[in-house]
Amino acid sequence: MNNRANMLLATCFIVLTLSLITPLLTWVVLIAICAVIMQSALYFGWQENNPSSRTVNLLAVLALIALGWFGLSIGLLNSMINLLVLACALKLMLLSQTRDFLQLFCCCLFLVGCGFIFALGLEAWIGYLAVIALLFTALALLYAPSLSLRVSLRKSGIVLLQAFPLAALLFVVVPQFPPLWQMPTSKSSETGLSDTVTPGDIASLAKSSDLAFSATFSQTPPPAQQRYWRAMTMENFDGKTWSISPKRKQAESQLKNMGRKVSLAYSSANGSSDAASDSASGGGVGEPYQLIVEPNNQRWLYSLDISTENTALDNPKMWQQFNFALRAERPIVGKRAFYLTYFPNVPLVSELADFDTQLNLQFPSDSNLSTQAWVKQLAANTQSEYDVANRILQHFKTSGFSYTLQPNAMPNSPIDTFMFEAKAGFCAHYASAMVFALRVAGIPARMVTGYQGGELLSDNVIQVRQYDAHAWVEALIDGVWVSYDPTSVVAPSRISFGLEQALADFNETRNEGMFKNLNSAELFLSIRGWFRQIDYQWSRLVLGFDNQTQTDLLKQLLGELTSKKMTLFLLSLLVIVSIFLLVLFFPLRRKSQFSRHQHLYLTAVELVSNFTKVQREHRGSTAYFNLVESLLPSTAASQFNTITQEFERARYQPEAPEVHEATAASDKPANFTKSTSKANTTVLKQQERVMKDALSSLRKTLKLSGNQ
Amino acid sequence: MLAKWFYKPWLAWLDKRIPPNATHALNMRSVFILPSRFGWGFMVVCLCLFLLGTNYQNNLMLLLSYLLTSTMLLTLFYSYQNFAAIALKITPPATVFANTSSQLTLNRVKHTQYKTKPEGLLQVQWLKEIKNFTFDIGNKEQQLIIPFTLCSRGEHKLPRLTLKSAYPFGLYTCWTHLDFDTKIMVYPEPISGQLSEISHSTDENNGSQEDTLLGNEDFFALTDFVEGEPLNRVAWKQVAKTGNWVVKQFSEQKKDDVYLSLSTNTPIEEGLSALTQQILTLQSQGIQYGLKVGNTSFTPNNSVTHMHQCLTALANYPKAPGSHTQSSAKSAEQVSSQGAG
Repeated sequence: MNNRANMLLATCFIVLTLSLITPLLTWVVLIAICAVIMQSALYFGWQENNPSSRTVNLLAVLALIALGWFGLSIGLLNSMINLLVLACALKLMLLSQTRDFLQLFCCCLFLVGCGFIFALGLEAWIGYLAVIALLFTALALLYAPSLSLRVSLRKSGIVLLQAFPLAALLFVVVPQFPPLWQMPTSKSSETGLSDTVTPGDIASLAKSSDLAFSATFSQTPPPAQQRYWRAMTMENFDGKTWSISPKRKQAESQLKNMGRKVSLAYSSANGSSDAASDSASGGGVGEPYQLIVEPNNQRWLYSLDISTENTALDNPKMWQQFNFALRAERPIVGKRAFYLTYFPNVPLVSELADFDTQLNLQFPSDSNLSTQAWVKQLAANTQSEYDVANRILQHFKTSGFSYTLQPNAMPNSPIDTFMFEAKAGFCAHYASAMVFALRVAGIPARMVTGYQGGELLSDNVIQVRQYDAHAWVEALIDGVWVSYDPTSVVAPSRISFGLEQALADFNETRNEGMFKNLNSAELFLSIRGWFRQIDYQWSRLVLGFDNQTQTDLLKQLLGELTSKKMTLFLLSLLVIVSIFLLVLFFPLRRKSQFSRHQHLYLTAVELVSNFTKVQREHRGSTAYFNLVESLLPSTAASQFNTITQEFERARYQPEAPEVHEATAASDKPANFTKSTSKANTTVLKQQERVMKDALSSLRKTLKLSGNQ
Repeated sequence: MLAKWFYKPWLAWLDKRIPPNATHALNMRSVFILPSRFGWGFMVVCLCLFLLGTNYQNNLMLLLSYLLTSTMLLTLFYSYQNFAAIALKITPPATVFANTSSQLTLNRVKHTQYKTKPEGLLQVQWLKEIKNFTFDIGNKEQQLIIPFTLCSRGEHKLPRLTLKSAYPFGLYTCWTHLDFDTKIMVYPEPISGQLSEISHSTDENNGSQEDTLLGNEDFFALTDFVEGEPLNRVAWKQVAKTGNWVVKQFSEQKKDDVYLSLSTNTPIEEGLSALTQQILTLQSQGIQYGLKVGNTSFTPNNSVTHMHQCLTALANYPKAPGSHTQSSAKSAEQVSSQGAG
């Protein structure tokens, strides 16, 4: 067996295993490392033989049992990946035949595919591409053991580079199908917002600067103060933790099954007078935008309040809940684009007013008693629900509350502790306290979680990161949900300028440790901006490329898409690719000028050698002429002399003028400047004519002397 | 059964498509190319990755599957280009004995059309044989040495040689069946046996003229080398010193010329084998011998050409009536290969 190829394959395998370390069990990784060490031992000659197949089979049985045991807890997808890595490791231990090698190669390709489930960035793509190049290099070494590593790496690299444009073409042209069947998803890697809020949760999110989603607007995006991205509504409160109400879930799924849809048209038409009074721009015309959601294995989408599905474009399946949040039909496992329309200033008319009211008035009456007492006192002499809400906000503003990401722990009666002792917290604390207060005052209210703000990447692109997570309040007043954001009262800069600015106002920073000051460095910021731009373009162009973008692109290229046009387009692509391949691989069909000279000369040599019975063999042209000169009749000798000389000149002349101008070009005739190559062509043509004439007269002469 | 039915028409078709020639430069007509088993497996992997990518809505997986598909397509051309750059010229072995392993040499020559150097492993096997020989043609080595064994004496046409390569990635198998248009005279297998009749012809006229017949017992003189004389008599020391090729001559007791002929009371094949063995022995000892078999006879001589003439006569000796049909039917396919390349 070819040890070099085996070693290279083992290297690729261990790189892949380490890149997949998140879903892998520790002992599976250890077995993989063992297998690679065994292979290295064979390669470096520390050991002579593979372990016996009996040993490996025993190991395989044990490992399968263990995997069956752990498989239950790590989910189907992760067990599959573990199984694949395990199988590869065991195969690597027994690697002896070409067949084993090829199977392992295919498994490694699958591992690369699995890698893309977990890593979608540009850097992951480049890294995995390098691994694929190495895999093909190993394959080339298997089929050509004498090839040097460098040469085979170059060869497989060239093949992959040439394959790349073709792959890109296929990517653009092959239709993007919807998922054919449900695949197991990774259990452990749900990221982003949690579906419960115990004040304290969102702070951990604030530490993460991972991207949550990017939104691309066709026009200027709304200002930061209006950018509330709704994800969930928390309507269930047990005194400490807010969660999504199970009744809500049940109702939503029933309504969905009944096929009822939120009629925003109704709400916008009905509320147009209110909307008009609020702002000049009506709620009737929406602003379309595109949302590229980072994979989080969850189903909720983030939408500007309030947005609906843009039905004009081809979306992944989604629906709008009656709490105005959007849900995707399937968990978001890859980067996908969602197309939404934003309707600013549309009042959120509750369509399930009774249900909403009933759901959003409950609170555990035995908890947070001081707050309850305070609210009752506050609400006693108010005229309207708006008044109650405003008084609460006023209280936050004037009673010395501050904004912090490191609040004290509040294990018992958290709202009481927050309201009267700590008086410091972040959005979840404020929202939680306000919703509770409103409910106590008899106003249906709920907590909305999602994101707020986001950074402008360019003029029309907003990127929202995990630290932009936010919670705010909605109160149902006169059948319309009204939004309040208590955080904006305490830390207005959080809403207008983002988290970092808000924290700076209160002398805190998001980052701790040695990179604290890095964020403010000018160079660092510009480099970071640059990387974010690349990452966004990668997400938009490659990861977010879907049926819609595909159709748009083709429309841009071809105009209105008709089947006739498509057929023609595909056929012409086929022709272009075939021509490309033909030019690439069969360039030798065209005879070069030089080879014509050679042909003429060789014909002459054949005539002469037939006549003189002296073969040219490996002699140079001049040497051969000197040899046969005496054997030829004098006329024939001079004719053959002409041919030989012209041939020599044609052969060595083209490089002569080049020596003065550019020595580099001497070994690459293709690099000739146009004028010189043209001049050369004419000279070569002349020589060819001379040679042709000489050849025909030589033929005659030899025939004559042969007959005599 | 069906394979047998199609074998002859297929051979005829091959003869038309790849005409026999001593030199073969592979080209579009002579190269066959199809995905190998691994190639089909690779395509299945591509398809699976496509399905996986579609189901996970993962564009990177889709891109990966397209990249592999494109690589598969490009490899088709690379495989062909590499294989078609092979050009071979045959050098048949000088002496071939029946049932004895001999070597056929294929020299790699320059391909007129392709400048690229072929790389990778090349498998060579005789048509319809299982045993194959693997050569790494990326090496400097310019010769492919293929062992073979022919079972029956007489003139044989070498069957086609199958050349196979999977370079660069094993996704495709390129192969060809080449007929090098070579006829090989297979001499009978040398087996020492009872030679019932060795006739010493006593030719008095010859004997009186020359008192000293050249033998190898006692050194007698040095004479100039004449082509055809046995090389073991060349005085190498003299050649090295002076540059003149001289031959040591030995005096020997005058001996009668040896005439060999087929014995009548042994089976023909055995007799021929014994004769072959005897000719080889005499040749190596430098003893002149003649041969009389059937209607042909050769006067005593000890040159290499003479040996070949004698052995050819033995090889062409008509076969026994019983074994005739059997051996002629076999003769074409009776190449079997032994030993490792």
